[in-house]
Amino acid sequence: MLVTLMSVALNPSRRKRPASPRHVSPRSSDPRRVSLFSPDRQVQRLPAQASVPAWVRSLLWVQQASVVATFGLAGSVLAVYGWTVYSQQVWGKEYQQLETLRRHERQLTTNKEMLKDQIAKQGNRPGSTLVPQSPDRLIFLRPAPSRGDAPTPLTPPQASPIAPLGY
Amino acid sequence: MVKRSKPTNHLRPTQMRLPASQRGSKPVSATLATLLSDLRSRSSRLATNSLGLNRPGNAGMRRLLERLRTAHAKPSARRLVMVWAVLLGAMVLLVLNLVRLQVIQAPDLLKQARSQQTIFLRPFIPRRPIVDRIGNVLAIDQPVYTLYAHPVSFKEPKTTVAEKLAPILGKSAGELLRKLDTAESGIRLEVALSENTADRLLNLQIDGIDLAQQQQRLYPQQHLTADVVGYVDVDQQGQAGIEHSHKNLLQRSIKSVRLSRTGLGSMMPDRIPGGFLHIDNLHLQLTVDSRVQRTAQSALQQQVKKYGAKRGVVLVMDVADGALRSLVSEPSYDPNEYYKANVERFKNWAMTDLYEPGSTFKPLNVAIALETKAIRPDQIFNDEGSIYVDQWPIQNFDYSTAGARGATSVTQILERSSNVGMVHIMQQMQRDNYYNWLQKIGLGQPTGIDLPFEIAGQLKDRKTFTESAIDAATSAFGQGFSLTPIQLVQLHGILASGGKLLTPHVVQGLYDEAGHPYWQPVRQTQPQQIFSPQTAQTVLQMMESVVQKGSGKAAQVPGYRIAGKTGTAQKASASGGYQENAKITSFVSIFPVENPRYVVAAVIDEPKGEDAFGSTVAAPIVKAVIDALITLDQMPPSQPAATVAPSPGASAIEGLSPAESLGVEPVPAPSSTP
Repeated sequence: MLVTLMSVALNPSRRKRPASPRHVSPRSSDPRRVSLFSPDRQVQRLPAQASVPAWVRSLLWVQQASVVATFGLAGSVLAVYGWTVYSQQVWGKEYQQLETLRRHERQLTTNKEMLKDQIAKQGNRPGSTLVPQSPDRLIFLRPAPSRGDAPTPLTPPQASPIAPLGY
Repeated sequence: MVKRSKPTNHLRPTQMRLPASQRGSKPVSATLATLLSDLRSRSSRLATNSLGLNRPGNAGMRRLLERLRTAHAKPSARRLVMVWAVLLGAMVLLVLNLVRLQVIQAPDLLKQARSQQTIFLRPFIPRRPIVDRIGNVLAIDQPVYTLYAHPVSFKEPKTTVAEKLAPILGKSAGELLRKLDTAESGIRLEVALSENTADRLLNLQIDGIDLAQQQQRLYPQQHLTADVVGYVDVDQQGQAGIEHSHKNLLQRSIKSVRLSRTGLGSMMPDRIPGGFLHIDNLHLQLTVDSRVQRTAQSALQQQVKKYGAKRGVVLVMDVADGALRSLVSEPSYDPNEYYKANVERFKNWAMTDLYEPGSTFKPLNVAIALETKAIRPDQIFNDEGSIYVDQWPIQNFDYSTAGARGATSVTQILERSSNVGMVHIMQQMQRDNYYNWLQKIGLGQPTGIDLPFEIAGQLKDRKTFTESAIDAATSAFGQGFSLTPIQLVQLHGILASGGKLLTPHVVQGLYDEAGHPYWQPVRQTQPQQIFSPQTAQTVLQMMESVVQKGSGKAAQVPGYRIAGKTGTAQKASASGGYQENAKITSFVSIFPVENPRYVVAAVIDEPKGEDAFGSTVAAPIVKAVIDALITLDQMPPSQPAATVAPSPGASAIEGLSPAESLGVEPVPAPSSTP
C-alpha cells in the first residue's frame, strides 16, 4: 500500500503524460505543421515537475527521518540488550569471585585462630621450650636525666645553600 | 494418511467418479491442472528416458507411470476439500494443543520453568563474629554441608558411587556401600563437611547426591572463653553467655533472594534487593583478653586439680571502667561440642551461685566503719580470740593455736583475719546505719553485668538485722549474707577505684573492620561515689599489709605493691546452718596499690585437704594472673630497688614512687635496672 503510494508520489507525471501534448500545444492539430521539431517552437515547461505538493514532501521527509530513527533505535536496542545480557554475565562471575574471596577470608581467620590455640596449648605442655613471661624477666629502663644546660649550637649545621645541579 | 506405495489405488477411483460437468465448471483450476499435468508428463518423460524405460522390456513400468500421470493430471474438488479438511484439522489440533499448553497445563509448566530458571540464592550471612580485646576471634560462623544420598536416582551402580565418594569422605567404600543399601532415598552419609570437601563432591557430578548447607558456629579457642561467650545450639540460637544476652547484636537476618538464571547457569541480578552484597563487617568486641584468660585458666585448673575442688572461678576487673579482663570458670566446656557437656556447666556460676564471702568482705566493713568515722585508722581493739554475741560463740579461726591476741590495730585485724576484731569494729556503728551501708554498696542487688542469668545477692531484712546483734556480728566477718563472685569483685572495685561503684561488663561494643566503633553500650558516665578516695586508699594500704605480712603472702610479686585479702568461708547447707567440711576459699587482690588498675579474684569451691585455705588455694592463682597482667601491660615496678638512688628522672615514670614514704619495706626489685 505504502509502496504504491510512494511510487505515485514520486512519479506523478506518469499518468498525466499521455494527455499532456494535446493541452500543451493547441497548434499541433494544424495539418500544415508536419514536423514536431520545428525551430520556432517554444520550449515549454513540463507541468509535472512542479506539481509535487508540500505535504507530500513533508511526508517524504518524515519517512526518511523515521527510517533513520528506526535503524538508530533498533541499533541501540540491540546494544542495550547486549549490554544487559553481558553485564548480567559479568555480575554473575564477579559475584562468584566475591563469594570465593569471602570464603578465603573466613578460612584464613579460622585457621589462624586454631593455629594460635594449638601453639598456646603446646606451650603449656610439659617439655615445651616456651617460657611464660614473668615480671622478673622484664627490664624497665628509666629515662636518662636531662644533661643539664649544655648550650645547643646556635647555628645548626645546614646543607650547602647551593642546590645540586643534577643527579 | 496417503500410502506412498500405492498412490494409484487411492487416486484413481476418485478421478473416475468425478462427473464431467464438474470438470468444466472450474476453468481456473482446470487450467492450473492442465499446466501441472503437462509439467509432470515432461518430467516423467525425462525420467523414463534416463532410466531406459522406453525399452520394450520395461513396458509394465511405463504403464504404471502412465497411470500415475493420468491420476495426477485430473483435478478434483473433492481432493481439495480433503486437503483443506486435513489442513484445517491439523490447525484445530494445533490450537487445541496450544490451549492445553497455555490454559490447562499452564500452571504446572510455569512452575516447572520457574524451578529451572530461578534459583533461591541464599547467601551465607554469618552471625557476627566475637573477638576479644586484642582482636583474637572467639567465635566465628562458617558454612558446613550435610551430604545426602538418594540411591534411587543414581545413574551409576552403587559400588561406583561409593568408590568415588570414599576418598573424599575419608571412609571405606564398603562402609559407604552398607549405608547406601539402607534406604532408597534420603540417606545422610556425612555431616559437617567443609566447603572444600563440598566442592570436591560437587565436582564429581554424581546424580543422586545432595549437599545441604548449614551454618556452624566455630569457637577456635574451645574451652577458653566458653563461660563468657557461651554457645549457640543447632538452631543457631544463643543459649549461654554473650551469645544469649547479645543475640540481637550478633544475629543478622537471612533473606533468601529469588534470582533468574540464564541457560548457561549464570545468575541474572535484576531482581536483587539493594544492599544485598554489602554485608556489614561488624564484629562484637569483648573486654576479655584471651592471654590473661589462658594464664588464669591454666593456674585455676592446676589448683582445682591439686585440691580436688568442685569448681573454681577467676575474675579480673579493670578498675578504670569495670571492664572484665578475664572470667574463667572451671570445669568448663567446649562450646563446639556443647551437646557433650554436662548441662550444669552452661550456667556461669560466678553470676548464678551465691556464697557467703567470709573474710574477703572484711576490708569493705573496715571501709564502711572508716567512712562513717565510727573508727579511726590507728584505733586499737582488744582481740579476745573468742566472744559470745547473743549467746552465740564467735571465735577466730586460729583461736585454738593463737588464743587471745590482745591489743590489735585495724591493720593487724585484717592481716590476721580476726573475726573477733571485726565484730568489735562493727559494734562501733549503729546496726541500722550499718544495714544502710550494706544496702548502699549494693548487697541484695544484682551488679548489672551484661552476661545473662545474673542473680542478686541475699541480705536479711532490715528488721531481723537491726533487732538481733548476732546478724550484725556475723556480717562483720562476711557471713550471714550471700553474694555472687562477680559481686565480690564489684565491691572490691569500690576500694580500688577510689570509692566508685563500677558496673562490671564484658562487652566493649560493635566495631567495623577498621576498628571504628559502630555501637557501644550506654554506661553510667559518672559511677556512684560510695567511699571517699581517702578511705579507699587507707583500706588499700591495710590490705597491702595483708599481702606483705599477713595471710596473703602467696600473692607477693617482688617490686610491686599488691593489696589483697584471703577468705575461707563455711558453706551454708540446704537444711540450715553450715556444712561440716565444705568451704569456699577465695582471694581478692587489688594492684598496684599506689594507682590501682586491676581487681583480681579467685574463688574455689570445696577444696579438699587440711591445708585448703584462701592463702594456699586461691592466692597462688591470683599471683599467676597478676604476673601475666604485669608482663602484658608492661607495668613498671612500684618500688625502686633499694640500691637505686632516687633520680630526678624517676618522677617522669608514672607509678614510680619512693616506698619509704608509705612505710612499706622496700623489696629489692631485680628487674628495676637503671
